[in-house]
Amino acid sequence: MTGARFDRLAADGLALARGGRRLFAGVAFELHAGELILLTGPNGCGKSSLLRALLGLSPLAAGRLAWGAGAVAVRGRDLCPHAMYQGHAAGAKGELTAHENLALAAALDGTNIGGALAAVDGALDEAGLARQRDVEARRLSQGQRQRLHLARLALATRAGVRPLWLLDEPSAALDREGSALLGALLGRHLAGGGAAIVATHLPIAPEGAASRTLALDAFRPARVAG
Amino acid sequence: MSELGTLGWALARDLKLALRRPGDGLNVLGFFVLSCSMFPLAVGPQREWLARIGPGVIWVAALLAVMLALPRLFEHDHADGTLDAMVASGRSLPLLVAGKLVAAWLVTGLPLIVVSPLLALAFSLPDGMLPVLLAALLLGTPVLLGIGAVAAALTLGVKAGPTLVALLCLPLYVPVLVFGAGAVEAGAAGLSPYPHLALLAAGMLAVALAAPPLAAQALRISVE
Repeated sequence: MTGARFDRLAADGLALARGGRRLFAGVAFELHAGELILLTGPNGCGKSSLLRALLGLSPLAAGRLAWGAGAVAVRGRDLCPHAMYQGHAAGAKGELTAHENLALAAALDGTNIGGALAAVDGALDEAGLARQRDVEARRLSQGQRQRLHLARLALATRAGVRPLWLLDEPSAALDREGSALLGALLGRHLAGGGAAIVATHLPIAPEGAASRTLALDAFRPARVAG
Repeated sequence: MSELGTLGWALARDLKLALRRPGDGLNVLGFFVLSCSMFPLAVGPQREWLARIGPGVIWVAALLAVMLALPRLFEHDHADGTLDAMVASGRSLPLLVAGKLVAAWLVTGLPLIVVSPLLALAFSLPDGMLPVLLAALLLGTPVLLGIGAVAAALTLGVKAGPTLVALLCLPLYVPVLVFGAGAVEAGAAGLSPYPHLALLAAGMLAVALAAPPLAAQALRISVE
């Protein structure tokens, strides 16, 4: 399945429980190439958990996932080779420099086509981290660490692999310029036939593309009295 | 990235990290040397006693030193989210774990073997027994690390993790200890050490095949 272009991801009846408590049930969506879904909802409603569950990082209580034009039933784990996941944590090693971290991530993602280090430098430059190239990641600010993720996404748009982006609060610590860059990257990704699901509290505007909102709190199970 | 590339990625990454943070490896080595040197102070400097207990002491110290390194094997990666990234990358997790284990052995296991000739000298090990000790450690330390990796992966994120790792590992380490120390004992008694070494080698092969997938499965459960 690797290297395939994004066609369609359909989810039906997704339910998730944490610590014996049902977070949501009956979530369904269909994602096509060029589309962006913004996952919204109050803290603790399961946005991060849903993103993780889509990749098999945490288990779904119920639901089906179907991939591609043939709507092949898949497990979350099967989506991993097609996905770029950005979680809550830094996802970078504090002891390594920004450049080293990005080079490692690119090698793992398969976005360093031909192992070109120049591409890594270019992506750092695009993310506004050129001056922080040789700074250890632990000395970067929260926002700069998120820009490191942007650099990783920039590499992915160039390499044209991993068409499904699953981003968890990618702009939480970004300044206005950083958010604009995120919008530009998302726009480029969607225009190139990719798709994305972004959990966010903040408005995110992909350049030249529309987005729709999936409000998770609407799927919260009704509270049982007593 | 090929299969070998996946393993190499994790190996190169962890070696680079170990170089940036040399304290971790040096702590383990320091613990090994110091705990060995406690024994002559405790039991007295009689040469024949020391020669008698030497192999056993070196083995027990090596075992405890390896165990000291286990909690850190996945802890940092878990805390900073790079473990999530590895699982989510869709690359073979057993191969990534295997790469990490090879790196961990180079950083913690190999240095123990490099300094053990000095300790053998301190314990006046019988002549000709040094190669047997080195061979036994060379075959045995990967087994210790492999078993420990599964335990460390299982207890990842648990508060009492390090204690649990010790409780899980020590019973499983008994055969390694018996055959490892036994190899030198047998050699010193004029018997062939090869049956012991062959059993250790068999154990190493079994662990090399079984530990990465088992630890990978345990990691998948731990990141949930």
